[in-house]
Amino acid sequence: MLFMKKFKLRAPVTVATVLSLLVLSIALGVLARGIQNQSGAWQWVVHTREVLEHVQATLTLTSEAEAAQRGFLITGSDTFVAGYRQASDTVLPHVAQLRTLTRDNPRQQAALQPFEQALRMRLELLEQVMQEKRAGRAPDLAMLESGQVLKQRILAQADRIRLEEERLLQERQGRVEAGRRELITAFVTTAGVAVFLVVLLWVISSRDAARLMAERARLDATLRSIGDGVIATDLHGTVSLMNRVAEELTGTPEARGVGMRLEQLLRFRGRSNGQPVALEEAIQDGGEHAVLASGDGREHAIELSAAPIQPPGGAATGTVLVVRDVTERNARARALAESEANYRYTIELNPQIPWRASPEGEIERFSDRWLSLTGQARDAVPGAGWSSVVLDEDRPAMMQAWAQAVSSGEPFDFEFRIHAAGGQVRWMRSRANPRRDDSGAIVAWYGLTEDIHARKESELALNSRLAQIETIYRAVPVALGLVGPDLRLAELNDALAEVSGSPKRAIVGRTPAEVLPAPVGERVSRVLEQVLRERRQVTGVEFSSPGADAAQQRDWLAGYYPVLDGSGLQGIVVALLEVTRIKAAQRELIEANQLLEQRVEERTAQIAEANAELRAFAHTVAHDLRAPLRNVEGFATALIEDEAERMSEDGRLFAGRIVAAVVRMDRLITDLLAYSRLSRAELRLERVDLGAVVKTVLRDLEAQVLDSGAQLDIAWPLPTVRGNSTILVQVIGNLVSNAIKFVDRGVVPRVEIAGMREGAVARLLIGDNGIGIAPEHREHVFGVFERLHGHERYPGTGIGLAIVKKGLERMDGSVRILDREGGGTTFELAMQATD
Amino acid sequence: MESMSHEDDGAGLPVILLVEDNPDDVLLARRAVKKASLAVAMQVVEDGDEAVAYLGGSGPFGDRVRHPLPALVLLDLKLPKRSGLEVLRWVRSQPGLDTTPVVVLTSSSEDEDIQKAYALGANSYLLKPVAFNGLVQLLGVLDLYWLKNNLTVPTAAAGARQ
Repeated sequence: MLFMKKFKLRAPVTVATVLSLLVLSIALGVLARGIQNQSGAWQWVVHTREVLEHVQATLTLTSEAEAAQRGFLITGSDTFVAGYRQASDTVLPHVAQLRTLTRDNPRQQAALQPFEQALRMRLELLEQVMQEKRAGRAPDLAMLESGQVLKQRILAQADRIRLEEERLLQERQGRVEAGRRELITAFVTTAGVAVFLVVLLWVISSRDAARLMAERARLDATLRSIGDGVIATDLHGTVSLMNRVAEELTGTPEARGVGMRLEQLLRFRGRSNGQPVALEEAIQDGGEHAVLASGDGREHAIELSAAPIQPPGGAATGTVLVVRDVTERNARARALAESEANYRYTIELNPQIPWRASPEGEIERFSDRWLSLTGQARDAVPGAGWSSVVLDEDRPAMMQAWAQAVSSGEPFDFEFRIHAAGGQVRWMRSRANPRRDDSGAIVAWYGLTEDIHARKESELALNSRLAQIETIYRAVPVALGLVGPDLRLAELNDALAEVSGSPKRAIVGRTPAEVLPAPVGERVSRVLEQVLRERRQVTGVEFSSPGADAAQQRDWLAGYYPVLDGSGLQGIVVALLEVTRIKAAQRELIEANQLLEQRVEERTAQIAEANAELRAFAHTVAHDLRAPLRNVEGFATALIEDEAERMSEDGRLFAGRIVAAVVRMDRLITDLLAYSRLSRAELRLERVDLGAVVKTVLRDLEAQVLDSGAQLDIAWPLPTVRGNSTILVQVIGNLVSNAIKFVDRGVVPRVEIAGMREGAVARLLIGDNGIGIAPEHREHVFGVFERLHGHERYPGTGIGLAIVKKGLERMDGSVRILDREGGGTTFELAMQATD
Repeated sequence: MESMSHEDDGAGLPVILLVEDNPDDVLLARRAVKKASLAVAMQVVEDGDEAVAYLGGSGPFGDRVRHPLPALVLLDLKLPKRSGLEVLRWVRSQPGLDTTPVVVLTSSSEDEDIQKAYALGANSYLLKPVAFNGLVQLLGVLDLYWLKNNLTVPTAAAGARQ
């Protein structure tokens, strides 16, 4: 980024760079061409040496051919011929090679011509000699001599060519040398230029870098000193810079923040709902609806703006985010708005109406509030026009007071009533003070009228309440007094004055001990001191003032209530209630109660005694009365058994009657005892299953049922009740027994037993097809010894139903006789049901 | 009355001790035993103290040959001197007598009496029947149950147990 910036923006650096590159490339070009030239020159040197080698080779081969020919000539051996052939055959190709090599040099070509010719001639001559030899002729001297000449020519020609080539070599080597020097010079020059350019570039760029650093530092300092949070990111949203404010706002130090993703660093929450808000969303609405949640748990109201980092003409390389904490600004704005509203409200509610009057008391200026309050027209007010809204009753006094103030220059203060715009009457208060000039003369009156209706109303209400309380205070028959912290009476009502026996005036300012009768006063003083100490109310203190005799004794009930306010005890209210009569009545009542309790105890003892006697009596009856009966029966039976034969018919009949009478008597006693036991015994009531009871009864009555052939119709199951099973067996046994017994002659008894439950009541119905009970007898069949039938027909003691009634009563139940269709009787037993 | 108690000398027969103060009842009881043809010897005492003396073998009852220990005691509750319940309590406190069957035979059907008698260890509680024939039947049943069928702890073993 920085490099690109330099490239784009720093012209000197660019120019220097371009120039350096240009110079360097020229130098390199020159160097390259020098090297190329040098290489060409070297090639020529090599070429020349090759030519020289070929010349040498030609000469050598020619010499070899001559030597081989001489060998042949001397020896005649064909071995030399082969050597000769090999050498002579190789010579001419070398010459051809020479010609090719020296094609560029016409002088050499020209020299080559005679050289080749001489060589050919020499080789032919040699050949000729050899053929002469083979032909056995001696070589011609001339021939030999011409050979010598030829050889001289060849050597001379070869020398010429060699000299030429050596000259060329000399020349070419000199050229190579010159090229080398040139090359070294070019290289040194190029290297020097390159070093120079590098140094130049380094100088320029380091100067640029220093400037950039300074600029960067300035920018950094600027960013960091900005009062807003600044966060820079790269294209990918990774934080690259953040200033101190941004650190504070995000609660993240820069060292940690740099490298974080922006959305990790900045977390937003909805201003209203606290829900997380996406970063893009927050940026889009400038942070208007989001608060920034800093890492340390605080929240900031913020303004958010973002700008891309974009070099001129280039692509964006990142973003700069500016975060402004507006929490305080918002709070200030709110406070200001609140203050304004408060002020406006205060002004609007201010009941005071300022006005100004002339030194003569004519109203000149006034607040518009007066108009809205009274409904008066603006021009109706000045002078004394305002007074028309004052109530007729109050106006004269007010006008007089105002006139008095105006004439005397004393401050004015008056309370009065007006007819307000709404038609209602309102209490107002006007106050005014004169403003005087240096000479002391009144310049103007400045007044303030205020609506004091609420205060006045409550004041009046308070006065009225006070009057009521005052009346109550006087009217109650309770003696009331208020003592101060010094325990002297500050206030008292007539009742207390009456108790003390002195007029009120004489009592106020004195202590209760001085005022009240001796024992009462002392008691009151003691308790007052206690209340003063403990600051708690004391009530229900009873005491009496002994009179000359008991009849004159007066009793009092006293209460002491501390009057406490924030600063402490203000006094104590003493309340004395005379309870002389109540106390007398109470005493009588206690005596009467004691007497009553005593009587109850006596009666209870008597009853217990009577019960004990009754029990002893029953015991005696049971034991002693029955013993002789039994004996009578025993002996009568013995009489019948042992003496029947000696007795007349009548005697036997009478003895039988005695037995029957005794048995009846015993039954009677048994039943009576059962009845009396029922009345006396302590009963335990428990859950009893009537089904089980009926089963017991049927077992007890088995013989009777069998004898009579009675039909039993029982609707199982039967309810359970709260009762005593022994008594229930007795009761139900009596009723079933009766049902079987009381039937017309020849009628088969039918007994129906059914139960039902109605809420808390369980009923048992025992019905029969017997002779029935007439409605007029239904009341007294339950009495003891009540019998409706003679002994002959229906034997019995007349106690059975009495036992039924008594037994049910003992179990909190009842029995009654119901009508039954088709004759007979139904007994309905009602008892307490249980679950 | 005294003479009556001496009339019985059925040696070897099981002894029933009747504690009864009413001579008429005693007479009828003897007649009933005879009528029921019971193979028992009946000894009679007239009051509580005498019953205790008999059972304790003291005074005139020291001779166990003439006054053997009874196999069954028929005890009235309402007695002169010492009541039937007191006799019962004394009997149950005696090591040799605590298992002797005692049947209360009385005319009281008071719950209190029944409760106390059983609480003191009576083996049975019977009401005196009004009819003489009832008494005959009752004695027959008692003989059958207590003297013929019922097994009691042997006297010696009972004594040793204490």
